[in-house]
Amino acid sequence: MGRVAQEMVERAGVDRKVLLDKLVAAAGAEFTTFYYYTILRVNSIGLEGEGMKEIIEDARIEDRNHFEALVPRIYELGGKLPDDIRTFADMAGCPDAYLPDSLGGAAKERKAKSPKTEMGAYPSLRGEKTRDLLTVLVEAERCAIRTYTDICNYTAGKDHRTYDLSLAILNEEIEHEAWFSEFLGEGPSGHFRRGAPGHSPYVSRFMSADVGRAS
Amino acid sequence: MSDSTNGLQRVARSEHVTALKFLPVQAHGRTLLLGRLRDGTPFAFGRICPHQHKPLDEGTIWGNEIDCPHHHYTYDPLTGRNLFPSRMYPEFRVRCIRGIPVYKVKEEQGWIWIGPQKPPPEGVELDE
Repeated sequence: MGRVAQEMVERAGVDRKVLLDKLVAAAGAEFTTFYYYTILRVNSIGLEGEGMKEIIEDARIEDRNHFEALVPRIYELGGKLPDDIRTFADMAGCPDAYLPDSLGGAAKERKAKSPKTEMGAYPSLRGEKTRDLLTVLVEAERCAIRTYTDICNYTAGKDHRTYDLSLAILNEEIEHEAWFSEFLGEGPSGHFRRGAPGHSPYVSRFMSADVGRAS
Repeated sequence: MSDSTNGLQRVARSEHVTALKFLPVQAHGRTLLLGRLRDGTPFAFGRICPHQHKPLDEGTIWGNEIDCPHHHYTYDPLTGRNLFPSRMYPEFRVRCIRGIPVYKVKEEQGWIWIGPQKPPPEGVELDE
């Protein structure tokens, strides 16, 4: 815990509790997204899916990096991660990135709720598998962009360290959105692939531990 | 600042309602939030996000959607229907998501008037 660092942030007009709530929610979203992107990547198969697998992996690893980079700042500011991972998941600042219906997501749960439905008769409500998968990915990234835009706005000119970190994460989230948006045919991202999986060109400098760091 | 005429209540001066921030007002015995779409259309809605029952006061308009500041659930300001995560969730999860109450709004002679609550669209459930 950095006493002076906290004091400076508060003196600048930041409500530390509000900021910590935002940071823990962001960390929760990164952690749960890492989990859900694992499932989405595993299911990104077939002629179209294989082409997306690498960027899903990049986004997945970089989201884990975001979690790793956020945690030290939470503790520096006098906060902590919830003791119970279920609480943490419920606090996540973005909704779960579930596997879509068309890829078999949650079919088991639905079957239990609709006992009269015949096995295998669950309607594909969204339709096209690849597009559905990309929709989940791009929406998750857009939520992340809103999250870090909010934190940047809240800390700009007041808490320089949190701002710098949040801006670095925002940069990567914007790139992730652009990759998936490009696959959806919304226009070119202007980027090329990472040099190494989950390289985190903006956030890696904030990762004090080497876990997940591709250098 | 409230006059009643045909179920409408006068709640705010037009210039106090912006697209940047939601304005809390009292109408129909409760606190509602007022905002504007990008094209200037005013709208009014209940202040509690039904997802985890947290206030929407510090939310924003993202595109033309009400964006909850806590978990970024978004709602259609004119119907109250949840838009995100509904547009990416599996159907059985979408069925568990509730909408927010929205109200009829009129803007006239520099004033915003709030009318009765609009009926929710088909398939949209609201909290009591």
